[in-house]
Amino acid sequence: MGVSRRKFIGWMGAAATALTGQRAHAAAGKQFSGYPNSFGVLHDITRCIGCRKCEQACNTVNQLPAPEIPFDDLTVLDNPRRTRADAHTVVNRFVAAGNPADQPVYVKKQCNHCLEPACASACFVKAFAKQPSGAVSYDASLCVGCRYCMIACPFNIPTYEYDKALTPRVMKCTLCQPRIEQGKLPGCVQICPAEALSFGTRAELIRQARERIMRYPDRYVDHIYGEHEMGGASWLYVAGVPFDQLGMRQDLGNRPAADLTSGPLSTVPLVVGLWPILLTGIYAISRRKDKLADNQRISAVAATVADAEARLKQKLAEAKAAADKQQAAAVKNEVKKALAQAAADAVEKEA
Amino acid sequence: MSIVMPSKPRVAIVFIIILMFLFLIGLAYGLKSAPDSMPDDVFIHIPALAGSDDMPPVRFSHDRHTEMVVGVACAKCHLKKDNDLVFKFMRMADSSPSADRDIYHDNCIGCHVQTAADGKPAGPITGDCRGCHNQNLPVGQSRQPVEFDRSLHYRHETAKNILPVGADETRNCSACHHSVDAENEKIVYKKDDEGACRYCHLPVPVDKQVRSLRAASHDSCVQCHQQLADKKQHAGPVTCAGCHARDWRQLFEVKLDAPRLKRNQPDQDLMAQWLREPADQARQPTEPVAFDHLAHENAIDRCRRCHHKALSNCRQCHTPSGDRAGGFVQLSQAMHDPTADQSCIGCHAEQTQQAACAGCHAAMPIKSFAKTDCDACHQVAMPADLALPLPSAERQRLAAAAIDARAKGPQRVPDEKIPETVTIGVIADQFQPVVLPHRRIVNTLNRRIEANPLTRRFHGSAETLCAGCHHHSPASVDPPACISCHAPARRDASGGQPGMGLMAAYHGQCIRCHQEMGILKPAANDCASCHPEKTRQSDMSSQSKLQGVE
Repeated sequence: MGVSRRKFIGWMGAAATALTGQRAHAAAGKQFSGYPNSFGVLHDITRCIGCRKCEQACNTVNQLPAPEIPFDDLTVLDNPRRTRADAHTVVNRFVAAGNPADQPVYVKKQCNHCLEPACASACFVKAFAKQPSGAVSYDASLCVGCRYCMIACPFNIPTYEYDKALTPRVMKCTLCQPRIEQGKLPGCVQICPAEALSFGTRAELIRQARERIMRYPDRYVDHIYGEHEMGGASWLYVAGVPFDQLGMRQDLGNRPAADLTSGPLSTVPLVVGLWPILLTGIYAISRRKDKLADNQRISAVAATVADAEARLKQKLAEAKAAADKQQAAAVKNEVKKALAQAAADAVEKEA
Repeated sequence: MSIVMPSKPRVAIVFIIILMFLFLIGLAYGLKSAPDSMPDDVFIHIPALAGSDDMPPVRFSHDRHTEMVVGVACAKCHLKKDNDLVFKFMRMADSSPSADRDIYHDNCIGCHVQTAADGKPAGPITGDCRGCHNQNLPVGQSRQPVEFDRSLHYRHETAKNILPVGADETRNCSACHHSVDAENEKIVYKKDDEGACRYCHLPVPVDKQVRSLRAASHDSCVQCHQQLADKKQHAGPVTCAGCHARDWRQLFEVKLDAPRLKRNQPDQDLMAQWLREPADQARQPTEPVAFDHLAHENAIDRCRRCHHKALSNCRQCHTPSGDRAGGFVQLSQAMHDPTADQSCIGCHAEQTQQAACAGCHAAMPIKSFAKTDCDACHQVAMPADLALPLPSAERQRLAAAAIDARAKGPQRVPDEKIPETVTIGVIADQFQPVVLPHRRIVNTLNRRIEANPLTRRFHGSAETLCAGCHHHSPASVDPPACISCHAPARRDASGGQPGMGLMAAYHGQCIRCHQEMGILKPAANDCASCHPEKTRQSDMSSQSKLQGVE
């Protein structure tokens, strides 16, 4: 495994933040605010008339199967709907609190193309990717069909082709990426007869949305949905009634989904990086312990040997001294005996 | 197997019984849910005694109880002080919570016991605590505020049986209106000092001297009504619903010809601060406004719409430089603040939100003050050698003359200059062209303009109405075609001119106007009601084309 210098520094940064208890991207300086000049769509809910032409255009553009109930039958609006494998977008009808039932509000629902998509952060094979164009793309050739993306999406958008036995795909709006590349507008934007949908760069759309709110303060709620929700999305909304009355969650917070998992996941490199050091350390310590024990044993043996030798030497010396003494005494004795013999001899002789 | 089998139906039966129980409990809860609040609900809530549990307030139906005590009358529950009823239950004033609680318990329960003993339907008694203490405080009230409009005021002003004691005039003003004589700490009637009750009597009592609006109006109105009723004279309502229920209020006699309330106000006046200043002050460049006070009185039912704190000249509190009395709102702000309810511009802007006006006006972006058309109001040219300060009579004379000289409303564009129909065929490949009944729309709107003095005054010229749809170009009977700005092709936000494409411009104009004016038919998504369907065959081919989406 080749570890680049950059990666190594990254790991060190992650390790440092994990140790100091801060969020990973705080130290890494990573705050993704979208690709510059990426595209998006502004849905002006006050303009939507609920004609379902966008659903029809989406169906045509994406070559989806014809629906059971034709698009000009507006009775389908009686029940709230969600996206399906054969419908990337749906229009729902809402009656806001305090409004008469005959003045409904229509809201188009489709993939919001988040700046930091939850689906992509949940996908472990990188089948989802945020494209510089703004679209969140899906690559069916990588998909393993785990459908984590469907659970991860806070807007309940991705759907699955459950009726296909062999090649099921996750299905969702593509932001008409192929059409964008040809310089065309997305199908729904192109067809919208009331321009409730505007296509443009996200920055320009936010500017336009702000301008509309500023020019018509009584018409709009002072909020651009999608500007900050879940870290921001390429699809933006302005409306005349609070968004939670339009089936749009307002409890999502402004942190991207990836942010929620980046903390725990940032410890992964730490563990991976620390493992060899840890094991080597343990090995070194145990080796050192062995070595110390060995040294101790050797020195103990040496000491014992030295001690035995010294004692032997002393014994030898003592023995030698004793032998010398004995010899001297014996010599003395012999001398004495000889002297006494000599004296006796002398006396005898004299006598 | 043979053991398990018979237990299955038993399980099912137990399950069904549980379900039925749940259903019954649900039903009981459904039936027990409290009825909506009624106009006569009085919530009796005495603060909890220290160390005791706070029982929920009692929801007391006042009108039901007054029905029950007919004949015995108010004295059954209310004491009298100098022949006046005290609107407290069985006491002259609040004392300690424990004493007040005992008054309620003793008297309510005592009466309930007595009534039950007489064999009549009666309320809860001792031990049935929750029979009375069963309510949480209401979120909303169905009680309608009492709108004392011009007709009602006139009927009270001229009623023969109200005539206040010692009054030497034919009008009854002194029966209700009073001022405070601060020196003698007395309440006295002072002519030409009358004002709305709520100028002094605020929603909550200011101090011990000044009662709350509620207490003041009950003490005065209900008291007087009851005393007249006791004398068998024509009297106003004494029940809660009589004044506070919407359907009862609709039964009131309405005097459409009630004259204006006159209290020394001018009919017309010239408004400009510099007219009142000495000549040596530098003359302001603004021309005065000829203000038609009389027309405003006729259009607005209540003086306090403008005179929100006192029935006096605006300058009294809102001085040119602003001070504490006027909440530091300067005179010019008081006239021009677009967000204030009481300012000229604020109120006029609010008028444009009514359905009849909103069709055009809702599509107009909010105007910053800098873009306000000063000339629309400041238009009385003054001679250079004017003797200042201008006396009040002279101001009023000049104002009346200026108002008289004003055009009495825009002229109509002659019919032959208004195209009768406009045929729009932008998406004629899918639908038949739309034929817009142009002249009918213009004339309908013209009739509404002529019926409203405010629109007559401010829709300056005959062509002003045209600019409602034909916007951004100078008002004219021959405006540029929509297509000259709104390109037929769909535009994206990032390039080209701002503004909508042609189709969206048409749809936005027609549909938004209908929505704002409350014209609900045809529905916005009922395409065929404006665009007649093409024949089946051509329809099929156009469906497959889908205009640029394939």
